[in-house]
Amino acid sequence: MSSAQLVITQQRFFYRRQRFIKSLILLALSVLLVISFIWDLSSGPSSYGLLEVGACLVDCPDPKLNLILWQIRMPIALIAILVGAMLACAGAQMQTILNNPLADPFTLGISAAAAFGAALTFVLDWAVLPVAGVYIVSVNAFLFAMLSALVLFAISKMRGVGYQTLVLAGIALMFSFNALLAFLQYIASEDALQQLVFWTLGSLARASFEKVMICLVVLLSVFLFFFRYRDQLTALRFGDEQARSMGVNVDRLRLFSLLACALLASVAVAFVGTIGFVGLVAPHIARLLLGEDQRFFLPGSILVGASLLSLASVLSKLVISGAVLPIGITTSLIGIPCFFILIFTIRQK
Amino acid sequence: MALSMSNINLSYGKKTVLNNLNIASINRGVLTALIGANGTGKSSLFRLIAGITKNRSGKIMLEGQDLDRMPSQQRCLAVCYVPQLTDYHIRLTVFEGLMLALNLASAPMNQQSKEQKVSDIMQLLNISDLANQFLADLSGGQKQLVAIGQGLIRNPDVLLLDEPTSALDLSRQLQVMMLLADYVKQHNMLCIIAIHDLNLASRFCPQMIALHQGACLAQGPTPTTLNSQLAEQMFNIRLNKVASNSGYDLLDAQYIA
Repeated sequence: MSSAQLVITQQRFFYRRQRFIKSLILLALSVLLVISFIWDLSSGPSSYGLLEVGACLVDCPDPKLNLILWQIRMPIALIAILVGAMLACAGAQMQTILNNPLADPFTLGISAAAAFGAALTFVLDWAVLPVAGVYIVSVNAFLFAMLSALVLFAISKMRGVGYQTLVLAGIALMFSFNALLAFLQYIASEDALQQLVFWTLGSLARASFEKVMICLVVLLSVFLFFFRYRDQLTALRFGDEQARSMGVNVDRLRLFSLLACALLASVAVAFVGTIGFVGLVAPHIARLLLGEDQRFFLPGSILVGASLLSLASVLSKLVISGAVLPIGITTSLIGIPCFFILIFTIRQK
Repeated sequence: MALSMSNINLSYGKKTVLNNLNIASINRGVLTALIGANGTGKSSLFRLIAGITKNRSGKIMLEGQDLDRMPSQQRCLAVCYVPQLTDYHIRLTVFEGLMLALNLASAPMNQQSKEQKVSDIMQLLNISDLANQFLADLSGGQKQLVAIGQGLIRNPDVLLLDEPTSALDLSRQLQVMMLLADYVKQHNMLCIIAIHDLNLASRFCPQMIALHQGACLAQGPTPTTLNSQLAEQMFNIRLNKVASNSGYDLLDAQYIA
């Protein structure tokens, strides 16, 4: 074998081995997610452990456990996974399309808008769609989140607006909605203020199978859209000019991706309140582990986000025995150490 | 009659970039140098040909076919524009970066032939040793070589390179120009290179287009086109050709104060 052929064989071997390793990492993340899910199901203020819950999944003679498992723990555990996945997916693609590592639904004002929408109901008892019934807060939050995304969308349609301007516009939106939210907090009654604070801390306690199904449908459809355009999205990270020269319709892809991210974030935030950090950090962890080829990066971000929020859900039950902390508090506590450990181990390599 | 342009006008707002530009037939199989001072519209012209900027008026004809009437997907495959060096920090290996360009350009082919093609391009550009490095960790010159590779791997009919040697060391500059000249001849490709180094242009590019204030000032065979009068008008320099031992004329430039 000539030396040139040897080099080619080596390159191919390395490339295939890398792909194999990345597939293994995805598999490992999936296993982690399953473990965390089971752990989440078997923990809670009532003293039912892993074995009892496992048995009850197959056949449940105890009606109390049956109720706790299927009415409380299961929807919470599922929504933790789905919301984590949605926020991570939205964060990953916002970072991609805006070419900015700090972009996520939080930093671009979508979550702040949702919080303001919710606050309108709590404080002023005002709803965009008064017929929404039990979903009145969620619908308000969703509509305001979509509104802020549409404002971003409209700004991006203006001539000569690059992604830097879009990021700045997002930050401006965040501060505007935060100011409006602060005003509502200032005039709120004590009761409304308490409700509002609890909502903004983020909580999975309001989970239901209906919400689980809605999240699942939204996540699946957006995932399929992003996966269809995986190469185009990867190319965006080379910068607009280079991506265009590779045949990517940059403006159109950015617009549709922005809407898809907004949909993910608004639905997630509407159901569980503002949970920060997952959308920002999960994509960074996935990037460190898997690189930026969207074939691996996209599912990787989703799995990391889902695992993070699922683990945070477990932690929120363990910190104070017998009580459940709002998940917004524990998310960062789980995420930050994971993130730093990864940064330092991978950078040292 | 490979590629020609007539009455091209382009302006951004009030600023006119290209002003009634006419370029007669550009031939295949040899490198064509596009020279001009900074801001004369070289990159804008490339973007127009590649269909990235939609031109307001004028016609661009490729082999008798109006490029603007070509479906955008087809046009994108036929014409490849490699932009000026831009910095990016993507966590992708060189191998993956070239594979990406191939995936975006070509009809579906099996994994084995794709990998072969990527390896071939890396070998051609003499960057095989970079295969497994992250693009974010490369130097400017190395990124430039990868960008050229991303253009070549798409096997386009028309290749537009915007200052492809600006970040390369001397040895790489010569290497790249030589291999481009060979590659273009072998594949009978139409290749225009925007370039500032007149020595490289006169040595490797048999044809030349001189762009001045958004219009074509001169076009033709490089030895006759690139003369002292043109240099003075375009760059405000005095150009002397000095015979060298290597058989190529060296250009000695003096700034006219």
